[in-house]
Order: sequence, then structure tokens, then C-alpha cells
Amino acid sequence: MRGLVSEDESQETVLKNISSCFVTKGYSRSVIIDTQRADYRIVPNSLIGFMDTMQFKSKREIYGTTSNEDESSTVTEYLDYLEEMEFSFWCPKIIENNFPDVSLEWDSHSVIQNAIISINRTTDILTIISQLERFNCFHIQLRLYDYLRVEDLDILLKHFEFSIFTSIELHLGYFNTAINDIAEILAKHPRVHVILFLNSAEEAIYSVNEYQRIVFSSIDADKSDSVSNISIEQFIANITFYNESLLHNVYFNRKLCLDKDGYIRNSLELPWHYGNISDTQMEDAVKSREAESHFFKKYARADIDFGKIKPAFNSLWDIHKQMIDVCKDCEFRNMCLDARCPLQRENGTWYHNTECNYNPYISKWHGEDGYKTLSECSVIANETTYYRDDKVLEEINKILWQE
Amino acid sequence: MVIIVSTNDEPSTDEVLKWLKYFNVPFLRINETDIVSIKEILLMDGKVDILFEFSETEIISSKDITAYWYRRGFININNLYETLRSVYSDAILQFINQERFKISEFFDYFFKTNYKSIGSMANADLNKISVLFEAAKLGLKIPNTLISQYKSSVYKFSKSAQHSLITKSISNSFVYRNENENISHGTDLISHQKLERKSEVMNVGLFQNNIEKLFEIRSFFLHGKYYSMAIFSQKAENTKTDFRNYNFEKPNRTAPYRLPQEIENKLTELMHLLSLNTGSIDMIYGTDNSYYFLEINPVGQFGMLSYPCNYYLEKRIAEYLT
Repeated sequence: MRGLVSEDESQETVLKNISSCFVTKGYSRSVIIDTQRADYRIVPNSLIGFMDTMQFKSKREIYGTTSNEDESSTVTEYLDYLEEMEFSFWCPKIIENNFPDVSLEWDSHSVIQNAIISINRTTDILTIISQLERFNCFHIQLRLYDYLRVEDLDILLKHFEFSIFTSIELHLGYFNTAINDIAEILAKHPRVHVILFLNSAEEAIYSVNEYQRIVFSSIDADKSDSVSNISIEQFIANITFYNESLLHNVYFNRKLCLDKDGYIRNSLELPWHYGNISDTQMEDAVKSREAESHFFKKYARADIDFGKIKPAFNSLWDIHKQMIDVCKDCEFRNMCLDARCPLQRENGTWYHNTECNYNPYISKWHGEDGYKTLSECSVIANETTYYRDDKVLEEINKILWQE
Repeated sequence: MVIIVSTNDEPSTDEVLKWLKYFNVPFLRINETDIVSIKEILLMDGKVDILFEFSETEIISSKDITAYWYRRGFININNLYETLRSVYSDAILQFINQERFKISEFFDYFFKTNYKSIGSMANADLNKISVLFEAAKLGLKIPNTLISQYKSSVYKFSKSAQHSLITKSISNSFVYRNENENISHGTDLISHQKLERKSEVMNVGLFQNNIEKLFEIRSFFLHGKYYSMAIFSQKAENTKTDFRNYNFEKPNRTAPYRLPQEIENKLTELMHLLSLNTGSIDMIYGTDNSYYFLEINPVGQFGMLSYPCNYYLEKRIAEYLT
């Protein structure tokens, strides 16, 4: 017996799932998020069904549900897997109810959790720091447009020495410098965990230590001005992210950006802003609650003069993935950072007008063998309709996944 | 204003303060390294008034204080004699330190009796043996325990033990490192070979029956509420006897746990008896389906329990102080 708790014949044990491993069920498969180990496993939906129905049953009872050898070998396979991954354990029956679920509470002590701040030499960095500190903001990404000497970086970062920021990420255009000089900057400023050079000819990552990295990327710095998620991160498997994703759109939630012209935005991808830092306090921008309740219905259809109407600063914060068509069927929805702006239909339902790289109905990524777009597999998610034909999908999946 | 007494580099304190700031509650964190000067502790007409200076910058009045959290450390009273080390004898300096310490003690006493409070310096350092004794008296199961300097007594005790023996420090666990040596005393298994090498009379040690466990339980107690976590440490060889021997590659599986009401009731009686309104309690759930009480650490860590169980303990503490 390889389980966490070995089965003793003198006491009855039952299958109990570990509550800190969260299940996200998708249309055609599921994900078990191991929040404790910051990892996840893609599993068939049948395993999730098995975990649900077999929890609190003894080994004898579980095998009692099988009627032939095939079924019982599947049961053995599932049990072995659950024990090996430590997703489940054999729990003494007398304490089977002493393992409560992990609460789905989510809260943050930061009014703004992360800020992307574009700066140049004329930016008043101390004002920005003090305004962000009022938000209890601890994570900042600085995009530097005309800092092209190592000495300048050092001078800039000195302003952060007595700030509350615990993590600083620097993005800057490529300039020719010795990697040792950059490493020296990192040594002097331990809060900086990444320095990213854009426009670089090579793609490379240097780990200076456990916490600090220097990254060279070929991404175009000019284009990056309208994109917030320049990131090496893929999926994020942790308890805070999971719980936040149940309530919020994690990409937009409690984020604030300052573009290179000084305009305050929720994210750089959104075409409207809340005033310029030169005459607007960030605090006032975030409080902006302009009375435009159907903005995301109108935005989907017509050209809008953003000078006249725009949504409240936090209007996208609560539009979580379970509310959005297609995303709600995706097994990755509780680990995913998606920069696309959700749009609303007349009937109040939500959708995206650009397609994701991943098609959750057939479990295929764009570029993968057998990939089909949504419309190629009968799924329609546009400004008027959501429609899918499960029979068609079943046929497609049969061809794709069964020999 | 909330007064927090803590030490430098104490991440749980940092987290609680972030919540206090979010709740717009003013606070003052006093670390061991901060200097506090007494303007006045005035006992007059049946009332006490305190004015002290913090870090030569701020004057704090007891009238402005609303709550108190003792996390760790102590209030460091300004010591003018420190600079006169060469002039005064050690005996005098020692006396001065005793005087200063009594002031720290009074601060702790005054804060906890006058404001809503969490923790206290007065019982931050418990006596493990006394606590085991009281726990057993209240009907909590404890591992059979022997404290002895004689090898023959340990042998005799080991025969009564069902399994092997462990030894643990009587005071706080101990780590000593230098270039050649790395000596630590947390909780360790005692083998017969190890024991045989000892002479009959040894340094005093605490020995316990090694309870065969299904999992360990770490429970954080805060004003009557328990936040418990099961730790499946049995599986990994390096954490079998003490889960603090952390398994970094694959952390021990943990899960929120709910102690039975009768165990919580007994623990509450024990906490009450020890005048504790907070603390981290270590227990074992044995293969015999019994709960074994091990020890209480009044200033123990709780971050390792707060995050994986999603308990938001730092927020709960801040809410209590608000």
C-alpha cells in the first residue's frame, strides 16, 4: 500500500479526497490543481466522477460496484493514481467528517494588487510611489523607455529603497551592457526580481539567484506599450489564484496601469482611460464610477467616444471565467490569466470576440495536430448567440482521440 | 492605536500589519531593536498614565492605545549605561538590566490588562514538562514521558514503550552551527546503539514513547477558536519524527482538520489554565485512533498553516485588533 495512510485491517478506512487539491471540470476533461505543490494534472472527467462517488466508501464497497474484470482494473488504476499523486488517502471511518473543505474565501489587503507603470525621465516617480503605497500595492512592473545606462537604473531604484514594494519587475529596451553590471544592480536592489530586456536579438534567461533573473526577449518594445501580459508565466496553480478566479477576472482585478503618455488605465489593452497622472490622483481614478451600466453591451456594437462614456474603473473585476461563454467550459479557467476584454450580449450573457489559442471542446491547442477552430466544430459564440452541438463534438472527439 | 511587540524579520507580523493598514487602523510596531524611553509611568489618584518615546521620534500616550498584540521579543528600554560599560562593573550593569526588564514586564502587563489583546510576554516561554503534566491532568492523552540522567532508567522505560523512543529538548529546540559541526536538538529517534554508547550518568534528557501516528495536527488557537491542520508526515522518511525537518522537494500533504469538540474543550481548559489566549498546539493522531497532546508554543509560527488551509489567520488577527 503506497497511500498516505496505510490500511489497517482492524479499522475500516474510506477513500477521502484531499481538500486542498481543487478540481476544475471542463467540457471534455478536467484539471486537478495541487495548490500545495503549485502543480496541476490533466485528468479524464471519469476520474472526477469516480472521486465524487467513491469518496467515503471503503475499498470493499468500491470494488463492490464493479461487475467485471475490466471495471475492477480501472478502479485499481484510478486508486493507484489517486494515492500516488496524494489526491486521496484512506481515512479511518471514525474521522471521515473531520476533514472540512478548504474555504473558498478570497480577500486581499491591497486595493490595487499590481501596477504596471510606464516611466520616462520626466515622470515624478516619488509621487507615483506614494500614490501606490496608499493602495497597499506591493508588486510593481516598471516599463522604462529612456533608461539606457546602468547608472540610471541604480538612481531610479534608490527611490524604492524605503518603499513598501516587495517585488519590482523592470522592463526596458535592449541596450548593450555587461551582464555583470546588471547582476550588480540586482545585488544592490534585492526587491527587483526580474530585469527584462525587450528588442533583444537573442532569447535568454539568466538566474542570478533563487529569486532574481535577467531575461532577454525579442518582443518589440513599441508594441508592448499596449499589452500588459508580457509574461513567461503559463498557468498559475495556487490557492489564492484559484479562489480569486471563482469571484473575479484575475487579469483585470485590482490592477492599475500607467501608459507611456501618463494615462491611468485598468489595463493597457483597454482603449479608455481615467485621466492623466499629471492632473488626476490614482485614488480618484480607481474610484471612478461613471453611470454607464450597459457599457459592455454598447462597446460590443458601436464606436464609442470614450471621452463621453466609459465604464467604472472596476467594471471588469467581477466578470469571472465562469460567467463567460467557452471559458466556462474550459478546464484551465481557474489557472488562466486572460487579457481579452469580455463583452456582453443584449440578454446579459458574456463572450469574447477573439478566439483563444485553446479549444476546450476538443482539448487541442492552436498549432497542434487535429486542432480545429470553434466554428469548425459547431460552436458559435458571437455577439448574438452561443450555440454548440454536442453530437457533432462527440463525433469529432471520437475521431481525434480514439484510434 | 494598536501596539505590536515583535522582532525584526518576522513575516507574520508584516502580513498582519498590511491588513491593519488596509483597515485604516493606526499601529505602532515595536521591535527588540527599537529604543523606548519612558517619559512617565504615572500612578496617581487610582489611575495609571503612560507616556513613552519611541525611537526618539514619536511620543505615545496610553490614552491613544486601543489594542495590544504580543508577537515576540520585548520592549527595549533605553539603556544609558550601555555606553559606560568600561566605567561600571558588570554587577551594576546587570542590576540596571533587571530594572529595565521589569519595566518591559509592566508594559506587557498593563497593555494586556487594559486593552483587547493577543498574546503576552509573561507566558511566551512555557515549561514543557509543566504543560504536559497539566494536559494529562485534564484528561488529554500524552505520550509516556521520562526525564532522566540515568541510562538504566531509560532502558527500563524503553521496555515499557510499545515502539521506539524519541528524545526532545526540554527547553526550546536548539541549533548550533560552526565550520565543523552542525548540532541540533529538535525531536530525534533514540536507537539502542546510540544509547549503548552513553555512560550510565548522562546529561538530563526528556524521553517519550514514539507514538505511531497517522498524521500530525498543528492547531492555531485564537481567543476560543481553533484553526487546525492535519500534516501527513508519516510517509516521508525525513519528516517521520518531526515535520520541521522539512521535505522541500515534495512538501508533506496537509489538509484542514476539525478537532472533535471534546478535545477542543479540554484544550480550551488547558489554555485557560495557562492564561493563554493564543498559541500553536502540536498533537498527533495515532494509529490507535487517539489524539496525543505534545506541546504548546505561545509564539509559534502560523503562516505555514494559514496559507495552505486558506484560513487567513493574519486577517483574523488584524480583525481582532481592530
